[in-house]
Amino acid sequence: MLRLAFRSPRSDPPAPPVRQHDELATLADAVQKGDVAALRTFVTAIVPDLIRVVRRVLGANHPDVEDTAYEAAHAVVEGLKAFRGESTFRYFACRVAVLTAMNVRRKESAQKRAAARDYSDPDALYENVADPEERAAAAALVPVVRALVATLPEPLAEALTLHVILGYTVAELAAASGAPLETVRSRLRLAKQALRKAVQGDARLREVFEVEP
Amino acid sequence: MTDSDDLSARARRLELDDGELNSLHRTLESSLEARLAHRAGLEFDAGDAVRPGDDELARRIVARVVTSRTRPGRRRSHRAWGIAAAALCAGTAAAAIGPLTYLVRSLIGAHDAPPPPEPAIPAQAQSTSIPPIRDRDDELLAAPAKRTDPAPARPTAPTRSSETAANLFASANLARREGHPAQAISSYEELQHRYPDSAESRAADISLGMLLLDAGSAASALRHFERYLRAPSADLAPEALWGKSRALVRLGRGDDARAIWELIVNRYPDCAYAKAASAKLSVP
Repeated sequence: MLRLAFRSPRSDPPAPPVRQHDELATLADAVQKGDVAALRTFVTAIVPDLIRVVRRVLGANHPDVEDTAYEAAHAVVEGLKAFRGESTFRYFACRVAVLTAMNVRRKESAQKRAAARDYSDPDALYENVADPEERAAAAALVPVVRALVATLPEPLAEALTLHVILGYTVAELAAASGAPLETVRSRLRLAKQALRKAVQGDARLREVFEVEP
Repeated sequence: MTDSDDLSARARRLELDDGELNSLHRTLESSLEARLAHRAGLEFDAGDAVRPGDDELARRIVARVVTSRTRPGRRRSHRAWGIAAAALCAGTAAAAIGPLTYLVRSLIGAHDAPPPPEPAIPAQAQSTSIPPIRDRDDELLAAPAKRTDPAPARPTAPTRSSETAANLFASANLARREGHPAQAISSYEELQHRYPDSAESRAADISLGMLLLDAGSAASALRHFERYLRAPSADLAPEALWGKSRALVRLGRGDDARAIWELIVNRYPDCAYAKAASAKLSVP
């Protein structure tokens, strides 16, 4: 059995798209031909990255980390037949994980807003209790960014996720989203403006980061 | 000139030379937005850590994927199909976000197209949400809810001999999300019995409280909410307080419930429950 290759703490963000030999290409081909052993090996290879991405987007203590990572893995395997090699398989898997986790985050946010509007049924709120690590980190930016991922328009949310959460460069972001560089720069600029406004709107964060209202 | 966003991303990978580092520092000093984005990125990087049980977590996920794709007559959930559609679109460089979003939402259950401005609550989630509050008195002070629902069909629960607090918590959460409240209650209670001092046990108090409340056990629910609030780090205090207020109402302790709503409004004015609590207080 392959050793599950978890990286050491403070590891690099998930692999960016690099045009080079893809070590997972042969496995992916075998998976599409129905090779169960190849399927196990392929998923084993990508799961640590999927878990890491999902944790970054949802929070390490979020109750849906495992299910979201599982759904991302399932979707990656399902998507192999349509993958045309625009990036490495590992990078493709990370982007699927980003989209899957973003979807979870945005649904939670919508449910919370719906519950807050409907006073007769705020019970749905408990389904989406805030990540304990977020609430404990009172002066951190991580919860602010995660909240923005849930509420910004999707192009901006994806730009914010891929750049700030996962550390992609502008070129890598453009390759991921299929958008021109200038469009990506514009999205990133708007996403960072939203981050600034969120910090400026919070008295505690203003004080910590010495920001004028 | 190198894009400052690229400098930030490459700095996080420790790829910058001295000249680029100086350029980044100048940018961060002059731009609040660049500084906040870079700082946030560093916080995310610092949060990465291999946790105890990660190997087991990964093995479970691998096993689930292999099982789901190899067992005879396998059936995929609507949500998996929706996410698969997301993957298909993610694989094409020309995919636009808008159509992708709509496709994913439509496949996972938000069937009332056209695409709403905000993500819709999918039908599947609605069907597994907590049932409406019943008005009957608390008849089950200590007994768990009757098991009337079948166990989840998906063979994902670990064997009893290999269960840990994390596994039990995950199983309970899964049962709750899949609409099996009785099994969820049982799993949470087992977790708290076997691992009373674990972080998972503490977090389970809120889920248990809500489940018991809807099962008609307001007094038991109240005990769980109060136990959570007594914990040193009650990070989910607004949630627990809201649950406590509901339990108090069900037990006919309206004045005590009003005190809780006032506490929510005064101490946690920005929380998701503050508006609802304020509305409750406005009704005499």
